[in-house]
Amino acid sequence: MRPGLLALALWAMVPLVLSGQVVVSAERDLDFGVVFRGVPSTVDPTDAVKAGRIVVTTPRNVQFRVSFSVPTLLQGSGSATMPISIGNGDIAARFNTSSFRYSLNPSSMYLVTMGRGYITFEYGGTVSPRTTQAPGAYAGPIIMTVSVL
Amino acid sequence: MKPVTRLLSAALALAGLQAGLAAQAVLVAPHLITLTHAERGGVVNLYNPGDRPIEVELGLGYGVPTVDSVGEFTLELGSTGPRDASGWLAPYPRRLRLAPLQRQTIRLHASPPAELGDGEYWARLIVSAKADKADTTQASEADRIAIGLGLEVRTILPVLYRKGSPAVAPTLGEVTMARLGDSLLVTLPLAPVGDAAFLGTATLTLLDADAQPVQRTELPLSLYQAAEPIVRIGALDPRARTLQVHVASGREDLDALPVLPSPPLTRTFVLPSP
Repeated sequence: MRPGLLALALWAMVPLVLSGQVVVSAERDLDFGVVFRGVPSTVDPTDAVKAGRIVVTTPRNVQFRVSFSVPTLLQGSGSATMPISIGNGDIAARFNTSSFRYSLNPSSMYLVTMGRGYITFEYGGTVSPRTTQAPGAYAGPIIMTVSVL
Repeated sequence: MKPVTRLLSAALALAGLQAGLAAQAVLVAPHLITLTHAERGGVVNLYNPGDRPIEVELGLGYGVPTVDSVGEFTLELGSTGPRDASGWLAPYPRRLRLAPLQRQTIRLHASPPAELGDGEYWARLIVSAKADKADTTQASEADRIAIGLGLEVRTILPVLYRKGSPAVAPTLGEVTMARLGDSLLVTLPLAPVGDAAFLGTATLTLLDADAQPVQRTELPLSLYQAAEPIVRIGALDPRARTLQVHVASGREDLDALPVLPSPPLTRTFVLPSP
């Protein structure tokens, strides 16, 4: 093996750690599974399989504001839409491995002062397919903003 | 597969395992970007520790931390001010795609106006990252309904541009305190004096009748203008008689970054009666 390639291989094996790093990791997407016309489907933020999960890691003592922008309609092909609700209590936050969850409202901003470790945000919601809902794929954006003070 | 390719694949897989195999992720460092007039720029590092490619877009805005109605620091972008540097700073590249485990250095170029005076100027770097395709579950049957929610993460970081030798010192006005149940609410009228932001820590220590510490809490400070944050000290120790407030430059999270030094200040206040 050429030395350059070996160095590249070894470099890739080292996890990147930089001074003052902020890492936001979406470890799991919110998954409603298969939904049916006329049948609302709800995922609780505590659902260990279907709830979305985002982990934020910063240096200790960093203060940041976190906020969310969530869709009210999912867009399908053409003009097809599907209502979705991610409301008060559909987002939860917990520090490190704690099982205590803070219930959040996506229309509010929250101040976080990091201790040692990380904070996990879990989110669910409800989709309400209409009885006449057209089949196909529906999508919408969730925007999470982390503003370091 | 050739041996070299096998080794590279194994190395990349191992690096992915160490990163926790996040589906979509972005790392930005450092979380406070300082630039100097002498260098006219600086760098920010991006890294994708996830297993999906991400699209990244960079921009600049302006806003300084203020205190909201409950005494907590907050930040809104969209304003401007005499120390606004967002109009003459530019990131390069502005858009990029990061493959899994790929890193990229972003350069911030400054083109300040010729008449720029000495002092510190401020902006906010906005790093928007999203997976390059929403992960929509495929509708495997003709009448299936599939749902995909794309996540966009916006990380907003302070940028400080320093010309000359900016200096700052904190001032502390008359502290007010109120008891609320078993808690003590402390309002700290703070202001930075100088031509730079004050980045420091307020340490609040409760002392007993013998001036011995019985309780302590810290508040990280990012003072770009006068502010009156409220600190809530819960489960107030019944022995507490006085409050000592110590404000000093530097914060634990900024140890490796160039924070402007300033003389510390310490004041003591008598607690209100229960």
